[in-house]
Amino acid sequence: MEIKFDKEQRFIVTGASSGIGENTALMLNKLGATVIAIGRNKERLQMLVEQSYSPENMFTEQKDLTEDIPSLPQYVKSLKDKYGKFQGLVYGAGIGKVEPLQMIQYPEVIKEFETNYFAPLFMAKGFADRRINNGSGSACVFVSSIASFCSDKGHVVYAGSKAALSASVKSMAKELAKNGVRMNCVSPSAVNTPMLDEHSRSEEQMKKYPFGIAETEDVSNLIVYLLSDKAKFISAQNYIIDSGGVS
Amino acid sequence: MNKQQFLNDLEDILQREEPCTENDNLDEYEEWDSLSQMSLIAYMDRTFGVKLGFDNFENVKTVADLIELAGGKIGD
Ligand SMILES: NC(=O)c1ccc[n+]([C@@H]2O[C@H](COP(=O)([O-])OP(=O)(O)OC[C@H]3O[C@@H](n4cnc5c(N)ncnc54)[C@H](OP(=O)(O)O)[C@@H]3O)[C@@H](O)[C@H]2O)c1
Repeated sequence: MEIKFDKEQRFIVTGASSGIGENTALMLNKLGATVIAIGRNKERLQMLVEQSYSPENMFTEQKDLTEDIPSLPQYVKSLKDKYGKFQGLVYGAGIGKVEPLQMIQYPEVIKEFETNYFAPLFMAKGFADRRINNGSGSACVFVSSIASFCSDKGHVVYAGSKAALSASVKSMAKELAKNGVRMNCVSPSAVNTPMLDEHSRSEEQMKKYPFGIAETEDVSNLIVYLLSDKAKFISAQNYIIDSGGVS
Repeated sequence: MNKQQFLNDLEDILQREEPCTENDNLDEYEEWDSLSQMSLIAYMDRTFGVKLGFDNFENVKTVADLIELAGGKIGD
């Protein structure tokens, strides 16, 4: 099986300055697509361009996605006016803290929901507009988490934000199916990125992952497949990548 | 709200590349489907406090008929 894109196929990738989003941006670019890579960290975005297979098709946009969430659909439209219509969206931005119920604080709860749930919802709203995407064949992938299925201690807030995301993606997918636009989630367990905290890397936690900690490309491979026309019959799904049996 | 504002809103709700006009026949809009009707129900409630159901669309043929559904809340 060979997956190929062309440079007229433009993908927005959020979280492109680090981890899973970064690897997905590089993979899409290598396979021929044009990538609009969004992140906050300018230096990391610059490094992304330097690492790209085709730097001329890797465009970066510095943006804090939680700064003004209601205007995100307008932001997506401004990107369309700048670059052209989009083939896909990858929502890879996210934050997650291990914090038990006893320790949660309202402002942090809001921040986590803003990043992991409200911002992807309003990015999706922007993308879903018929005037913004390429119609039939367009696709979105949202990075959720295994926590949305089976949350562990300390994931009180994170699990809620991801479960909310996965549930909404299913509804969106049904709404957009008529336009030929597909929407899916991927739900990894531990992935080797800066987000993975010491707790998750501990020996005790490692017992839960028979295959060990996944690398970013173990997740991006699936994301890219789901964006490609090889997955043209797949929508409204949430795929678990759990290193051999956490869930 | 005046008619032109409503027509602009309708264009956005239906996500049309072309503007909407009062005499347009809704059956000729490919965007006119159950999902856009659901959006319009939410819009009418939010904007005018007018509560509609899918049944209300049964006798609706043109954009002007939609304006009537707002019960006089859309002026000239
Ligand atoms: N790593 C894991 O074990 C794991 C497991 C399951 C699910 N996930 C999920 O996978 C996704 C990617 O995580 P990762 O592991 O790749 O983490 P990561 O390396 O920490 O990357 C997170 C990305 O999100 C971006 N981001 C965070 N807040 C943002 C904001 N307000 N505005 C714009 N961008 C923002 C960051 O941008 P800047 O750095 O530029 O600020 C960064 O690019 C997340 O949704 C995470 O929940 C991760």
